[in-house]
Amino acid sequence: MVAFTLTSQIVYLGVIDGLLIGFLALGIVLIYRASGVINFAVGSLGVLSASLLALLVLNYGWPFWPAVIVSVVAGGLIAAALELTVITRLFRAPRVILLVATIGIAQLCELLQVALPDIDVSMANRYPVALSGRWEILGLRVRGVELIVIIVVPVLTAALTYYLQRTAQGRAIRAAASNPDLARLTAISPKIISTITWIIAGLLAAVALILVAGINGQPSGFRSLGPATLVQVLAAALIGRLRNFPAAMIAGVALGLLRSLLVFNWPTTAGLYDGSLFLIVIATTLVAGRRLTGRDESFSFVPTTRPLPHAVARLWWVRHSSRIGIGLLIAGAAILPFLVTLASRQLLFSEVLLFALIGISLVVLSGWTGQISLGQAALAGIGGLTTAALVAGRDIGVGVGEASFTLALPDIHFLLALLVGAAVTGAVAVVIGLGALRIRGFHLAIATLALALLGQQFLWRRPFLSGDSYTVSLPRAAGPVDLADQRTYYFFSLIALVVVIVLVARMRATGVGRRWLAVRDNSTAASAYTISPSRAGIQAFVVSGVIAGLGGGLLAGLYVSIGLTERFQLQDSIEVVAIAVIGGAGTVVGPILGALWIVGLPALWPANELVPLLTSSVGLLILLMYFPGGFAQVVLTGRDRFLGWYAARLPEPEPPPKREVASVVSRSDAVAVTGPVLVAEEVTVTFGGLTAVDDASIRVHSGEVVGLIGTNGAGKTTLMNAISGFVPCSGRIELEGRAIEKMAADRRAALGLGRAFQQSRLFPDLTVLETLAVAAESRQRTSFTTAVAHLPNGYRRDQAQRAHAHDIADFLGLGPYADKFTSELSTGTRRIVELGCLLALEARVLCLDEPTGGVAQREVEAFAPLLLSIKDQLGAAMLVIEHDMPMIMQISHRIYCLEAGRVIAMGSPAEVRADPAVIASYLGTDERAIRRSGATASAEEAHFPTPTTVLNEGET
Amino acid sequence: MKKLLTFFAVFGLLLAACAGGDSGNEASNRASDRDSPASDAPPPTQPAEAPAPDDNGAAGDAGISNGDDAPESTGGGAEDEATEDAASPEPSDDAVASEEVGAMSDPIFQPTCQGEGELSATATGVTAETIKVGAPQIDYEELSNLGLVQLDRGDNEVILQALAQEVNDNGGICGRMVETVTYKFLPFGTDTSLAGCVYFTEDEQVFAVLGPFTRVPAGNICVTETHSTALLGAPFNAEDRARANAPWVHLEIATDRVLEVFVAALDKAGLLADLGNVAVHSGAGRQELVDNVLVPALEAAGVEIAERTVIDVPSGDTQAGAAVWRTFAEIYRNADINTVFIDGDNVFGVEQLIQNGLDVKLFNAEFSTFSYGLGGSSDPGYFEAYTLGSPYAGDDTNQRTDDCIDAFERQSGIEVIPTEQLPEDETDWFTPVRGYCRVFDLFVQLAAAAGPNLTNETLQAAIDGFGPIELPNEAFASLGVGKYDARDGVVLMKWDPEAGEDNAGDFVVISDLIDTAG
Repeated sequence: MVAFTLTSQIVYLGVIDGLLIGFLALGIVLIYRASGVINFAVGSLGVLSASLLALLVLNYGWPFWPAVIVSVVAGGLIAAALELTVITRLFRAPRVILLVATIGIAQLCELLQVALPDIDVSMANRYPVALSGRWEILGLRVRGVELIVIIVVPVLTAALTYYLQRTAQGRAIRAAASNPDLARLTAISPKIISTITWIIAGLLAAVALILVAGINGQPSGFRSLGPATLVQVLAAALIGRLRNFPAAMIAGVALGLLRSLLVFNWPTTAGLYDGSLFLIVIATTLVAGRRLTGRDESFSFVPTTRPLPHAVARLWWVRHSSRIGIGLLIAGAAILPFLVTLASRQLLFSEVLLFALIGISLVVLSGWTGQISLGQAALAGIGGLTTAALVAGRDIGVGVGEASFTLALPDIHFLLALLVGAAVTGAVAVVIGLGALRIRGFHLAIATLALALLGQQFLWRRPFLSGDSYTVSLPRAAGPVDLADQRTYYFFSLIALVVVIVLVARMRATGVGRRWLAVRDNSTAASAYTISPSRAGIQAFVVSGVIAGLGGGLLAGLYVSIGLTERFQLQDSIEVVAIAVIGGAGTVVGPILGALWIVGLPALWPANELVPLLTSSVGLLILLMYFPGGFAQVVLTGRDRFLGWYAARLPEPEPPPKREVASVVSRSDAVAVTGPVLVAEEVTVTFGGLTAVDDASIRVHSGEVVGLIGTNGAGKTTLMNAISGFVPCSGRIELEGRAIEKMAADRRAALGLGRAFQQSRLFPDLTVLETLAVAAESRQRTSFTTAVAHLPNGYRRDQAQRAHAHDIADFLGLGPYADKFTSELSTGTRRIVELGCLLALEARVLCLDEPTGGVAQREVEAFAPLLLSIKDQLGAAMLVIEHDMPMIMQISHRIYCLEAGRVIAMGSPAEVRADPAVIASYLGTDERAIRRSGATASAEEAHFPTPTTVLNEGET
Repeated sequence: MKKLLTFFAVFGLLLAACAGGDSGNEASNRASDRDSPASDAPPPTQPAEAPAPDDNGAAGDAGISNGDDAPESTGGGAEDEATEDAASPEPSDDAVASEEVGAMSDPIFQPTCQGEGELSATATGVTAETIKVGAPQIDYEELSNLGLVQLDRGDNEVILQALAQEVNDNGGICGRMVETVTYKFLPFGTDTSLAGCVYFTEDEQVFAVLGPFTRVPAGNICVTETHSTALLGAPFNAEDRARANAPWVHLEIATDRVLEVFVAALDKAGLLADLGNVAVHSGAGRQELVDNVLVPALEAAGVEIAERTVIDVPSGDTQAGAAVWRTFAEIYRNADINTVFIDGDNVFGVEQLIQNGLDVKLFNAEFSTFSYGLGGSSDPGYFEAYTLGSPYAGDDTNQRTDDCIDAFERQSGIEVIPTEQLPEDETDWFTPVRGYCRVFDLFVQLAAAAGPNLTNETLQAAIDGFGPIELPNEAFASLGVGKYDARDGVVLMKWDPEAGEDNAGDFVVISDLIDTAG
């Protein structure tokens, strides 16, 4: 039984500490709500203000209050300046880029703070505060500055909450956060909102840091919030679901209390609070994950390797240009140690290679899956120190207290230990990713930041990893090859890097890689194609972890003596992020360029005055602003321009012969269903206090086309989302007699529930063929193990998948677009691709949300026959939401009409069209609208051409 | 117990030397002479070279550094903050005895080779004609580029070459000329220090590295453990030293032994009496060390530990550190703590003790960081505080240092001006010259004692048998079996909030010069 001791003074101190944590968390929540990015500069924004106040009062003799006002206003102005120079420029960039930019801003603020004049402490060495003194109140020893915290923090929290909830500007911020496009339509410029939000965040940070400095007492030596405080602040914001101000504040106070409690009761147990914080973050993502909703946007890192122009695509050197580029880099790397023979230089070269290798772990995770990790160096540390422990044959303690025992491990060879260390790191990644990767957003970033802190503050000191020493040794054991020699080890590192590049590049080309990109680009659509975003994320994180662990083991082997307070630290993790971003996280070449820049430049030209600037936060920010895709973007843009120029000089190649494909469905597992294939009974969906779908029931029978109509906001899409599994609901949903209401969206899709979306965004950075291949994953799933191990059957499956995608493309007349990115297609063509995906999915029930939305009217008429043709190909039933009344009335056997979430009418098109409630609610009393809704023949009477005749080359 | 073992070891060597007497044992002979009771008598020669702190010197920042042992250091750290207000210690009787023993050393850079034999390539970096040594130097230029430090401390290569030239002009070490190489590194991160280690040990294949990779323990471990190369003038603790595969000597006091020395000195001065309730505080990284060394030492001295606290926040996280310290203050208050022993550089917490109105007596063996923490607090006069220091502070020098500086000026033609008298924008040669003098002299004496057959083993034997050794800016120093940290002469210091530059507070010497080996 664990006994706590608690005094009222400890509770009081914890609350004061917690209020400051919570207050800083408000800044995180505010920026996240407004722009969907986690602002890592939350504290640093205020550091300058806190220093300015001390300067004005102590150096220049200003009175306190004018100095406070100027300092706080300066905080807002600094934030505005940063927003206008950095954030605005990156406004359209992926949020991951913006997050990295905030890290650069944080470092920039710290640099600026260092540049301020030294604070004169000759007159007074105490930070200026509004209220000094110390009193005993209700048995508590209370300082004046603490009273200020108690008053200011709740008041400002309430004011901020009121501002966002009750004022027009606050509502605009929330609107801009939830839907920037919609906000723009309502004359609210998201850019202005962003600037206002950053100013408020700057003001908050200024007040927070002035309070923090006042509590701490000393006027100097306060540069930024350290990592432990930052993780605390992020954890509080996370507990507040990154949206809820009061919850974030309460969480901050709770965390402050927890620290006081733990430190007071266990003052000698190092790492207890950091460990608890890590568990809290992991538990929050696990428990609260279902309630957290990320923004459904692309997390893509540009650049993307564009398809080659047709005219040059058949040229050998063009097709292999990427390989040639990488080959040249590798060849240069192979020659280097013969040109530079100093072992000390070769050590640094090896370090560049190994940081590039660890950077590739972020390509897999961030570049291809859209998640960001701020703890890659910690994962590398786990791999490296585990490798060292295994080589040393250290004992490992298992269990706690009396239930613990020691497991004696044999010492194993370095090479084997490397692999085991990498595998252990992969396992750790699973544990961390289980919760954090269930949701879109930056939760993995917070969880891995907590891991990075835990590593340096706690894990590295565990006896198994440290060997009870602060400098761990990892002798590079002599085996078949003597790795002790620096040049040999350099080549060993180079080979490891090449192997990882080849394996990762191959993996990207398989279905597993396509699944990752699909999840990154559009996790909702990916779910609709049977892909589990969380599973894909975990798979990517495991691969990323294994690579980082391997890199860590190799780095540990390179260092031989690993200082536990110097290696695998939080700043190393930030460096890995910088390597990936500066190099370009979208390609495997990126981290090589990034490592050359970040690690190589300072190592090779240490005395160059420009190098620190180029590799610093300033360099990072400038690069991000002009080349958000990093150096790889520069290289690929250059390549594309050159190839475009070269292709223009070549004769246009003959178009490939048109292929006629009669059928693309080969399903043999159809289930005979006598009753309805889709049943939704008493379905209710609520968002907060709003009921979007209210006890709605619908049925779709085999082969039937069912229309779903209603006004905007009637709940049609929400009902379809509930049926498809994209929003939680109550009620019963059955697919072919099987209850599916508890299933995730991807499971429902796997059972045959096809879905097409209103936005039809698909996967912007995937080509049409790749998109179809992603959908084909439902029937020809690429095994993760097969892809990782590069087994032959994986290749065969991949070939079959590609062939199937080709067939579907040709069947729908999409051949000419096969190698185009879906983001380059017109809405109409994209919708056809989406229908192609449903074919690939071989869905039994098609749920289509406004399939003609955004399509030109002259093309809409071609859509109805196409839809029915696909339905016939699949032998499927169809549930369609459509505002085009002639079309919906034409193709539907039955129609449901919704109003305010309730079904108000159901029947044949004629019955619904004549229903007074429908007329009143939806069709209105305009005779022309009513007539138009019945102007064409119904589905039974219609005759439509085949799909391939629908779409000709160049048409949409 | 350690001293007893050392005594028996030296006694054993003495017996062996008496029984033998061949050239290989001359180093032992010399050591035994100096450790024998007869050596208490004043030596007939070179009395002027005995270390004698001058009237102005003493306190300043001549503290005991536990990890900042740059070659330019005289054992403290922030030499630039020395004061003239600090009082000089009066050498104790023991001190006098040791001083006189120390005077047995050869004149600086004129080593007497212990033994004879044909010169050959005996070890890595040693040929028949030369001994190659490497010296790491902090890259102040790069630090300046990074905007961290603006210091001009000259080209250390010039210093090393001048000192080596002086030795070579005097016949070298046992007839071998000394060659020097340097490598610039940054005192944070480990990349440049590891590269420096590989540069010295693999590229240049030196026999020994002189001076530490400051603040980067892994760089030092790389030299001694991974590359089995001798390292002189770099800090260590018992664990580091046990891992070394080559000789490793520290000019000052080992980072763990300093805790014992501090407690012993306090005990001897009667400062451990009536401390009331005592708390011991450390960082998590040194928790085990403090539990195994400081706490037992205090308990052995009759001090009862009422509370033990450990801080584990990342360095630089002021907010988290302050929050934890506020809780510690409450722990101390609840336990009616009167005295806190703070280990290492965890001194920023003193401000939180002030802010929370906790009136305690403070002890910390880290002179420079403790001074920084107290001087930078909002109320420098708040605490009664004690630390351990070296009698040489600021620009203080002893005769051996002066001789070394003379040699440098003679060889290089560069005038060395004490740092405190240095005009603005002039290169500060004084600080690095004094630092390299210490480590270079140490090497020269030890290598000469090792004799013509210079190897790691003979160097180790010379160290084990050396006994008292005279070094620049060391009052007393000695080496022997198991004692590889040279400094023996220390002083106790008390915080004076009115002392120091601008009366901003400084430590002043309150004890006689203490010979910890005595």
